[in-house]
Amino acid sequence: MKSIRGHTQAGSLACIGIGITLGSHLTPLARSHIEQADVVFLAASDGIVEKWIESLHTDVRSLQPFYAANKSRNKTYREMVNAILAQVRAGQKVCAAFYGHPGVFAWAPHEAIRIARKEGYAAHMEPGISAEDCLYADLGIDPGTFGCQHYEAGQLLFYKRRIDPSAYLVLWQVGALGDQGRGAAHSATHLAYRKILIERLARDYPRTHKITIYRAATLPIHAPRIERIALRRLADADIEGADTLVIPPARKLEPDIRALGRLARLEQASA
Amino acid sequence: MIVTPRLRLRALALRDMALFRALYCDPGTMRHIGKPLSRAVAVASLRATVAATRKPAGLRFFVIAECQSRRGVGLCSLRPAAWDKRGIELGIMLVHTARRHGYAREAFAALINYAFRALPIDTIWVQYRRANAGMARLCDILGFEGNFLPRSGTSVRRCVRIRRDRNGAVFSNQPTRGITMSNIIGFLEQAGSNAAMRHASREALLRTMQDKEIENVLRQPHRSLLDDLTGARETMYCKNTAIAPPKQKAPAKKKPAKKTPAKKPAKKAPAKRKR
Ligand SMILES: C[S@@+](CC[C@H](N)C(=O)[O-])C[C@H]1O[C@@H](n2cnc3c(N)ncnc32)[C@H](O)[C@@H]1O
Repeated sequence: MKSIRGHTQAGSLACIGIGITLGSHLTPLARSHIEQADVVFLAASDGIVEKWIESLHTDVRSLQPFYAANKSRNKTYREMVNAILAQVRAGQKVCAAFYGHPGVFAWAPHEAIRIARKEGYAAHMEPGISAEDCLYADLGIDPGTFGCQHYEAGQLLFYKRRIDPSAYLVLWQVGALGDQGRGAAHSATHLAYRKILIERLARDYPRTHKITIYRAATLPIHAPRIERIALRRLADADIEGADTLVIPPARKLEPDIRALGRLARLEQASA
Repeated sequence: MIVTPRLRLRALALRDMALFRALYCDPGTMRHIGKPLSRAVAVASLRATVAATRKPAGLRFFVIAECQSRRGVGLCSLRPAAWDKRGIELGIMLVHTARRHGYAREAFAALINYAFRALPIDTIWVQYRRANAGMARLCDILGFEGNFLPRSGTSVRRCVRIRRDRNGAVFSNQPTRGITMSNIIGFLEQAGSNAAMRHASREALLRTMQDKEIENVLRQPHRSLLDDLTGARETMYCKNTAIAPPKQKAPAKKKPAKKTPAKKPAKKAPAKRKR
């Protein structure tokens, strides 16, 4: 109730997730947000999913027209936020629906909520089933078994990150490498980035290490993509925008002898 | 006047009292519309309706007459949609003996064509009671889509729409091989939300789709047919976040090392992130 109390303006914003698979993942609450909104904005990753959501409300406005081949992505995202906020400021009950989870590797929903709240409007996020959730189910991975790291693929190249090769590593947006903020990357640039990614990963993993290209099904009549390749083959692989890379652990968990010793002493003392 | 192979649609007039009564006073015809009118109320109602169609508000009532016999067999209406500035709402009723001849489809298709051609609108709406299976079938065949609650809102009514297509082309009364977008989306929604169907074998899915005459959709190795039939957008962007590389500093000029006590390293402003 916190976000509902205390707001000073008439408009409101709910950023909701619609999940990945058509028909399977829309929560009753998310559906109700769509049905009860005055205006629905929609960022889906599948044209048919877009059609489906359009059938649930009379005023669904796709955010797809904001993208353009050679347009800066930053501009695209900012325009999306502005379009959403313009309706909130006009006093409308706005629902912004994003595929997957609206807060997972998605800038616009967080930003729209931040600004709306700052301006005194009620704004909140409703979780959805993310590609990450589908991945655990389809690949039979429990992030608790060895731990699980998630990185945006580009960020792994730009910054010094410490990868723990005894845990899972999930890389997002590998298909968009080389497209930071400038719009679509040339295929040559993209390939060059991918080669650098292989180099980066090869610092922590053998080049023969088997990695998985994963894509959850967006239509319920399709199967997920689960393709295993050796790390060194990554440059040749056909990877699209909706693919996620999953790298299983390459090393065994290493016991922390010192901590174990301290714990053993603790046990003895309390025995 | 709108003319189709078998029908003429002409403006409703006061001389149409017999037809008006045959429709509005008949409990069978009014089953999905409202309470039947008494004969006296029907007289007043026809007068009021004809008067209203002469005002500029945009309400139109047409008599549906058979070309050959000239007999009036029903009425259809076209009114501005209260909730949509660029939308109109259609209605239709036929006398009992004129049903099951495909007249409703013929009249509606002609009216849709007329409306998109002649009026400044983008969307045509139909509202009907959910129990009205005939109307549901008609709208589906004509390519109406959606499952909206009417704004005035009771859930016993359903609201569907058809939109002027992307190229501004006029609606064509030829759903592709009987497959309509709403039955594909409906099927997919069912396949996604029904546990037995979600992980059914390809064969089982094909059988279900055959029943619905949409099995071609699954037979295609690529998505193109599915996209064509539903009118889905071809290119979909899915990136919602862009991480910019850190701003490269110009190489620092060498300064003589100051002998100040070591400070905690200053926090760098984080690079702008776009996701
Ligand atoms: C901008 S992020 C959005 C993620 C989304 N918010 C979610 O919760 O799943 C886009 C990235 O998500 C991943 N992704 C999107 N759709 C996917 C799918 N169907 N299967 C697997 N990963 C997917 C890919 O790594 C893609 O580059």
